[in-house]
Amino acid sequence: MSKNAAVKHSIATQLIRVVFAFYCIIALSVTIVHVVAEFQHTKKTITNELKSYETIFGSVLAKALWNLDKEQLRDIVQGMSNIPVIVGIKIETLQDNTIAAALGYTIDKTGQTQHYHSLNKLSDNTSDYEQELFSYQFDIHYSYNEQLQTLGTATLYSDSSIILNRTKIGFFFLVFNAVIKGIALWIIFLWVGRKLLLKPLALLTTAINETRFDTLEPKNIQLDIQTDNELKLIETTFNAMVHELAKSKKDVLNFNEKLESQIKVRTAELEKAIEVADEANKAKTAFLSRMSHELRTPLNAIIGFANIKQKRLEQDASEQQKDTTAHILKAGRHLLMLVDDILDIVKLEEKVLDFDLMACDLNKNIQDSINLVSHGIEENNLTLHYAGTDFCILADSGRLSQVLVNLLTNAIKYNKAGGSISITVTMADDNHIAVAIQDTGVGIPTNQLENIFQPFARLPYAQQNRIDGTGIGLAITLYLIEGMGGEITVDSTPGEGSTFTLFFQQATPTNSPSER
Amino acid sequence: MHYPLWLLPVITLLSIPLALAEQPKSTDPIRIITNDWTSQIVLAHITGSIFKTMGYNVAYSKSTTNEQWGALAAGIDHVQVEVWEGTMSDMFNRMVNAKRIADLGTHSAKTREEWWYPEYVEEQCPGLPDWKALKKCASIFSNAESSPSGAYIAGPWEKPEAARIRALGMDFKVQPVSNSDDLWVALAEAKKLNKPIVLFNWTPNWVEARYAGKFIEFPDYAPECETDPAWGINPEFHHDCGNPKNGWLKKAAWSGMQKKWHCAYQTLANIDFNNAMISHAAAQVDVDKLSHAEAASVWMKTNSSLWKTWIPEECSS
Repeated sequence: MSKNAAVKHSIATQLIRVVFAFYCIIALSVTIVHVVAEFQHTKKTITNELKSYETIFGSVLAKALWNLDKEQLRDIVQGMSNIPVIVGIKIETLQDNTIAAALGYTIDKTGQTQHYHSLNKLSDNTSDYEQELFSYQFDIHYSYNEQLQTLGTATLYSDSSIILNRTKIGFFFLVFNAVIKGIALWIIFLWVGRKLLLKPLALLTTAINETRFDTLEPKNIQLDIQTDNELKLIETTFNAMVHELAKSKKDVLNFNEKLESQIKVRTAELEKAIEVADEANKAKTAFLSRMSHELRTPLNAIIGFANIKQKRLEQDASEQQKDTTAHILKAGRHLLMLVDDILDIVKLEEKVLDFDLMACDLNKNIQDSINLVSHGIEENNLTLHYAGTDFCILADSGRLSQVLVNLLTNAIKYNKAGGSISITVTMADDNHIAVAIQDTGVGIPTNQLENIFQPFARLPYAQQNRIDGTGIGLAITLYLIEGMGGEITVDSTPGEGSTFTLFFQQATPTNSPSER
Repeated sequence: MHYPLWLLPVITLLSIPLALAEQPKSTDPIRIITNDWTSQIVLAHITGSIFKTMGYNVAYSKSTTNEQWGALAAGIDHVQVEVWEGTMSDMFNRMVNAKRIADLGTHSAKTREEWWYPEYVEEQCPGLPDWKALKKCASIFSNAESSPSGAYIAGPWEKPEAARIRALGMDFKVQPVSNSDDLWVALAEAKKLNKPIVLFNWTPNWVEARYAGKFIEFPDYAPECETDPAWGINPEFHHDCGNPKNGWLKKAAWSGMQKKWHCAYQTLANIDFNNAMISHAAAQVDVDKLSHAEAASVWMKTNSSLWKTWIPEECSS
């Protein structure tokens, strides 16, 4: 807002305008009332003045009328006409109680004089202008033998021009007075308004507009007010507020500076800690990788020789030898599976797994996976339901089988004796295939659902019932699924079973392999 | 019934007096003005007495010569039996011209109002009645109040005597009396002491019947004397003349009287007094000390043959 606009719309200017407007209205009203009252008062005074001429001229008029002395009447009328307030005179004589004649004159609006020439002439009708004049009429009485005789009437006319002439100086000074008062009041209001309101408020608003936290300085505004009024209070309060803000700003800046230095120290410490942790993690991973590799070599040797031994014992060995060999082979395979899982986790953390995505025959992968876990199905006396499918999906066939085996193994381990497992393949939408693996097992508590894909997370049920496993199967599954561009969801009801559903992009059999 | 045709004009002629007679008479009183000099009051009573004999109600209304005109014009008063030319002609003529009063004719008497002196004064102031002689010996007329100027004893009526004194350059002071009777008291005392006196007098008046004397002869009257300063011997002032001589004496009545009191109106028109009759009637009051009514009654009795002739025949009962 420009300075002129600010002044134009300021409270002081509006206050001055409103007050002055009201003053003008009131002054104008009072002046009009004064003028009207003065006019009426002067009119009344002139009427009273006219009335006084009854006393002065009544007796001589009566004498002249009594003696039918027209000369004297004319002299009297002439004399009365010289009285400033009288603009017309009409002397009407009565004969037998009716107006018999009139003498005198009136002056109409156009300045024409209407004369009543003779006492022998009947009075003319009262003109319209006479009705506009204001007049005083009195009866002319003559006392004869102590009895009053009414000889006629005298009408003395005056008009508003007489009043205006008498009051024009007063009216002029009245209006002049009102105008001078108005101008003086306007100047005084302007000066006082500017000094007391406009200037201080302008300084204040400018100071407020210019107050920025970024550039805040502890300086004072000087409104130049000596009286302890509201503006003085605002000035004091504003200055105090600016000082406090400036101090606060300084404190904040100091705090920020200190905080930044602390953050820098902490960041450095964290970076160092991360670096240490990374080094430790790398060391751990390298250790695990080396350990797994070092374990797999003897384990493969144990399993290999155990297989050979088992085949040699199929014909001649005793049952005890066969069982012992079978335990060695089982324990070796279990241990190899644990080592493979650890290796997968290591690779997963190192993000070094490769995916060879191609159009996979989903039905073949499912059948192969079923075959791998059929021994467990039989041991747990479970029923598997799978109707087969013709869909092809985009996936890494080996990783897909690993996923399916993981999920089927869980469905077996956590199923009830005599339960069932259902594998259902459907179209999830136009481009995606859903593979649902449903079991009738113990189910997963609701509060555990969000943790089951975390590495090494195991259900309390598994721990309580000594179910084999490291707790990294579902974590690997999730990682593999996402690595192949798919998704996995779980829906479980404790005590009734769980359903894991896999979503893959549909592929045609001609899809060429792609790498990710 | 059939009458012969010649009876018609006869009956018509016989009916005229009856038609002229006032029928019926108004019972309102005829108000006759009485002024403040004897002859007028006696004549008013004589006139009233005549009207009463005619069956009218009469009332007397005391008035002044200044106020009477309005009363006559308004019909408040109805009859004035003495209208003097010298003092009343202006008002009388104005009222008559305005048709507010009626001129009821002139008495046989001739009137004059003027400065007057008893005859013995001529020895003390030779050259009288010429006003110039009076002017020369003004000092002999002085008294305690006027000294060293001469004193002019004026009547109680407002007249332009001071203007005349100024216009003619006379060394006199006007000393008005409050009542006309005082004039005659002053005259009697002066005569008793043989002292010079000049006073207001008029004719007809009883004085001329009892005292020998003459009016002062001022320059002859003309109407211009009262209106044109250039006229007369003093070109600067009005009233450098005397009063009219041989003035008329008229009767006046309210303009409505003829209709309302027709016979009285006709009778008043016929009333006619000469100077001797008026002087005699006034003397009976002022000298013989009869009341006005008594003087009128005496006059009625002694002049019955005369006043009865004034009543029109058609008005005689």
